[in-house]
Amino acid sequence: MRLKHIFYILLFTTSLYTLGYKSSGDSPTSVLKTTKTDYIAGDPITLEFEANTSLDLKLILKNSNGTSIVEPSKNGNKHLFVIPKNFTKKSGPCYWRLLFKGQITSQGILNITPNMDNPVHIESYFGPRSIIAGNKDYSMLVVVPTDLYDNPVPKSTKVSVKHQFENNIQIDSISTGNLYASKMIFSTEKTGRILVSSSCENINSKEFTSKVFPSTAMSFEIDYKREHKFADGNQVVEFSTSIIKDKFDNVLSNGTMVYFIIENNDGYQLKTMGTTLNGIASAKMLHPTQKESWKIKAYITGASESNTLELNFDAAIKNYKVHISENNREIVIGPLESFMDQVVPDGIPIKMGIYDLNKKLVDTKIITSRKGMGKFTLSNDFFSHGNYFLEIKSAGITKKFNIELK
Amino acid sequence: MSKRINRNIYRSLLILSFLGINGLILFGLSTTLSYLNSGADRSSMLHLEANLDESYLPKMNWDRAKNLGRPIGDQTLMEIEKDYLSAWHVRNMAYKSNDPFGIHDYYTDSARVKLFDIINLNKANDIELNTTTLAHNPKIEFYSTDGTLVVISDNNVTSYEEIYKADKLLVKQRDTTNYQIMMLLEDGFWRIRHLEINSKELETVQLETQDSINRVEDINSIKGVNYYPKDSPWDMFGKKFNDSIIDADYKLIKSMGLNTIRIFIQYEDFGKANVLKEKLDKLKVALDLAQENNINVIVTLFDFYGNYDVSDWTITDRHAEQIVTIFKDHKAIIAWDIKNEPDLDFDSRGKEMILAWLENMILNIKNWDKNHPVTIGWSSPQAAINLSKEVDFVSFHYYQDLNAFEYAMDNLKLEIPNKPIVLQEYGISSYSGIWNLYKGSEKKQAAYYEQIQKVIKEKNIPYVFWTLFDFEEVPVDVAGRLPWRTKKQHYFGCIDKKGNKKAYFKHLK
Repeated sequence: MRLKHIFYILLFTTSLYTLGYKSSGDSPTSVLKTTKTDYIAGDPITLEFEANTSLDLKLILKNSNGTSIVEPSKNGNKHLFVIPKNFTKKSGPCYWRLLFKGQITSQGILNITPNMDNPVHIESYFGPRSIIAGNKDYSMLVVVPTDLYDNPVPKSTKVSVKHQFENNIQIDSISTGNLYASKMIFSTEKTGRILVSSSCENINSKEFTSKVFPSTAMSFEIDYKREHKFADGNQVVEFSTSIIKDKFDNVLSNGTMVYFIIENNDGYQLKTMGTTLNGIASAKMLHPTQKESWKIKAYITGASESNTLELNFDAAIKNYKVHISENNREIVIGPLESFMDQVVPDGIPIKMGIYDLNKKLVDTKIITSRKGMGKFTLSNDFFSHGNYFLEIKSAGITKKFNIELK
Repeated sequence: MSKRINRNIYRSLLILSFLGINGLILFGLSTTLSYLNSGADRSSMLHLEANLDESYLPKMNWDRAKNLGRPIGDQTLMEIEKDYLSAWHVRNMAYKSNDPFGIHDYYTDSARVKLFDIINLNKANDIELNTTTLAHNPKIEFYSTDGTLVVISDNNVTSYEEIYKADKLLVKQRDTTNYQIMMLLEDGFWRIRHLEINSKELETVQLETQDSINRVEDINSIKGVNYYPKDSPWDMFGKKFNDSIIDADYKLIKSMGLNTIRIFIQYEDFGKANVLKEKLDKLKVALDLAQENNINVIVTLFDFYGNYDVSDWTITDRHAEQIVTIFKDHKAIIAWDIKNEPDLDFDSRGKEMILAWLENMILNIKNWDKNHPVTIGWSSPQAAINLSKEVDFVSFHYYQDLNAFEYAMDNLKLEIPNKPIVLQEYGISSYSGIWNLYKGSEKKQAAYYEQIQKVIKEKNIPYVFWTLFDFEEVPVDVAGRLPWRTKKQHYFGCIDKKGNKKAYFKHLK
C-alpha cells in the first residue's frame, strides 16, 4: 500500500512539473515590437522583441532557399534579431517563428518583394532556331527577368519583345506570369532571318536569330541533255530539274535530295540522284547498250514529284559477225561497230548461253568487248565432245548456232 | 595398479588439454577472421551512385492537365521527375551535412549559390537541418517549344524538418508549402533555375487527435494471442507458409475462446519500399482465413525495422502505404500496430527521432485508412505514455514483476483515462535448464497465468498473451545468440513442442 502511495505522489508531482514546464513554454511574455512586415529585397531587416532579458529566445527563419536560426543581441529587455542577408535578399515570403525552449511561441511572415529600383537582369531562352516558312511554324522566346538579387520579377511585369524581318520591325508587349514571359515568333512567308530581342525595365537582352527555311517543295519539271540518241553504252545523259520552289515561291534549300527513277521498256528500274543547288538538282545516267525507251520521273521523298519524261535510244550497233574456229571451241565475236562504223569503245557486254541437245542450259558466259572484239573459249575439260546449241547476245542482237564440239 | 591409473589420468588430462587448446586456437582464429571480414561492404570503395528509390521516394501526384507550350510526353515527364526529386534529395542531404555534394548536378549556376549561402551560414553557426519532403503534387505549367525549359507548380509539398544546433535538437516542424519551380535542361540534366515559395501562408499541419473509432468496443473486448505458426516463428510469411496449418491454428485459437490474434510484418522481408506481391498474397490468405474463422487481427508493421532517420521516412512511407491501402477495407483487421516495442531503440537511435517517425506514421496511416484504429506496441507501461494522444488506443507489454502489474495498469489508466488500453504482450517462459539454474517450470508458468488472468478478468483488461506455441527454433535477430537470453524464448507457449496443452492452458479462458 505504501508503495502505491509513493507512486501516486511521484506521479502527481511529475505531472505537475510537466504541466508547469509546458505552461511556461507556451507563453513567455515576448512581444513583437517591429510592425513593418513588407520589405524590398536587400533592405536590412531587424525584428525586435520585448521580453524578459533572461529568456533564451531563438528565431527560426524559412524561405524558399532553406532554413536557418538567428540568435538575438540583447539590449535590456529588447531582443534584436538581425535577419541574415541570405534571407533579406530573397523575395517571397520569409517565415519566422520565435522559439523558446523547443516551443514555437509566436510566428509571422515577412513579405519581401523583388528589388525593382536597381537594374534588372534578363535571361532569355530562344528556340527552335530554324523554322519553316509559312506562318505556321514558330520559335519561342522565353524571358526570365530577375532583379539584382536573382529574384524573379513580380507577376505582370511588362516585357517588350522586338523582332525584325527585312524592313519590318515589330514590337510586342507581354507580361510575366509564373516566373517567365513567353512569346511565339511565327515564321514569315519569305525565307530569311528573324532577329529577336527583348527588354524589361529599360534593360535590353542580347540578340537572337531564327532562320526561316523554305517550306516543302511544290511539283517541278525535269528535262534532259545528251550528246546523241544512240545506245552506245558510253555517253551519259544528264537530267536536271527546273528551279524547285515551295508554295511561297521560296527556292528550296540547297542540298535537298532529288531522286530520278528511270523505267526501261522491260520494266526494270534504274535510279540516280542529285542534290539541289539554287533550286536545281541534276543527275547523270549512262546510255544503254541497246535500243531502249525510258520513262523518267523525279521525286523529293515525302514532298513532291515531277512530270514524266520519255526518252528513246536508237541502236548504235546494227550487226556483228561471229567466227567459230575449226574445232568449234573458239568463238570470236566482232568487230562490233557503232553508228558511224567506228569500233565501239571497250566494255560492251557480250553474253553467250551454252545449251545441250535437250535445250538445257549448261553454262552462261559473259565478257565485255575489247577493241571491238570478244572471244569465248569452250574448254576441253568442261565441255565434252558432242552437239551443243549456242545463243549469243550483244547490243540487243541475238545469234544462234548449232555446233559439234570435237 | 595405482601407478597405471595415475598414468591414465595424466594421459587423458594431456589429451583433453591438447584438444582444449586446439579448440581455443581455432576459435580465436575464426573470430579474428570473421572480425576482419566484417565492417564496410567492399563495394562502398567504388562510390557507386546510390539508387534514388532506395533512399528517397516521396509521394508524387502528378496533375496531368494540359500545360502551356509544347505538349509533354511520358518519357520527358519521367526524366523531369527523376531530376526534380534528385534536386530535393541532394538539397536535403546538403542541409543535413552542410556539405554541398551533388548540388552542382541539379541546380544551375545562379541557383546553387543561394543554397551555398545557406549552407555556409548554417555551417558557421553549427546548425544542421534534417529535412525530407513527404508528398508532392506537381503540375507542368509550361514547357518551352524547344524542350529545354519547364515551369512546374508543386502545391502542398509536405515537408518535415528537424533543426539541430550543436548536435542538439532545437525544434521539429512539419508544414506544407506551395512552390513554383523553373528547370532548365543543361548537359542532359534538368536543373533547378528558380525555386520559389508561391503561397502566402505556411500551413502547419496539426495531428488529428480526435478520430472517430467505430471499433472501440471491439478493442475493449480483445481476448487474444500473439501468433506465430509453430514451425515458423518470426517468419510467418516465409517459405514454410502453409494455409492449412494456419487455418487449423485459427480453429484452435477460436476453440480456446479467443477472438483476436496479433501478427507481425517484417519490414525487410516484405521488401521495404517495394513490397513483394508474394508476401502480400500470403498476408491476404492469412487475413482471409482469419475472417472465415471470425478472428480479428492486429497487424504489427515494421517488425525488425530500426532506422527511423528522417532521410528514411519516404521509404518507410511507401512500405506502409502499400500494405495499408491494400488491406484498409479488410474485415479481419481490427487495428494497425505501427511498431513493436520502439522504445527499446530509444537509447540507440534517440527518443525524439523515433517519436517523430511514429507520429508521422500515425498521421500517414490514418490518412490512408480511416477505418482502422492505430496503436503502438510499447514494451512497458512506462513507455506507453508516449504519443498516447496520437494513437487511437494504447498498447503495452508487461514482462515485469507480476505483483506490480495491477498498480502499473491503474497508473496508466489514470494517465490515459479516455482511451482503451490493451495488454498486448505478457507471459512467462517455462524454460528450465542450466541457463536459469532450473528455476522455471510449467507449474510456475501456470501460477503466473492464474494470478494475472484474475486481475485481467477483474479489471476487464483486453489482453493478448505471448504466445500460442513453444518454438523449436528462434531466429538470432530476436534475442541474440546468448543461450541464457534465447533459451527461454522457446518456452512461452501454451502448447508444448509435442503439441500437448501446457499447465497454464486452463487459465486462459
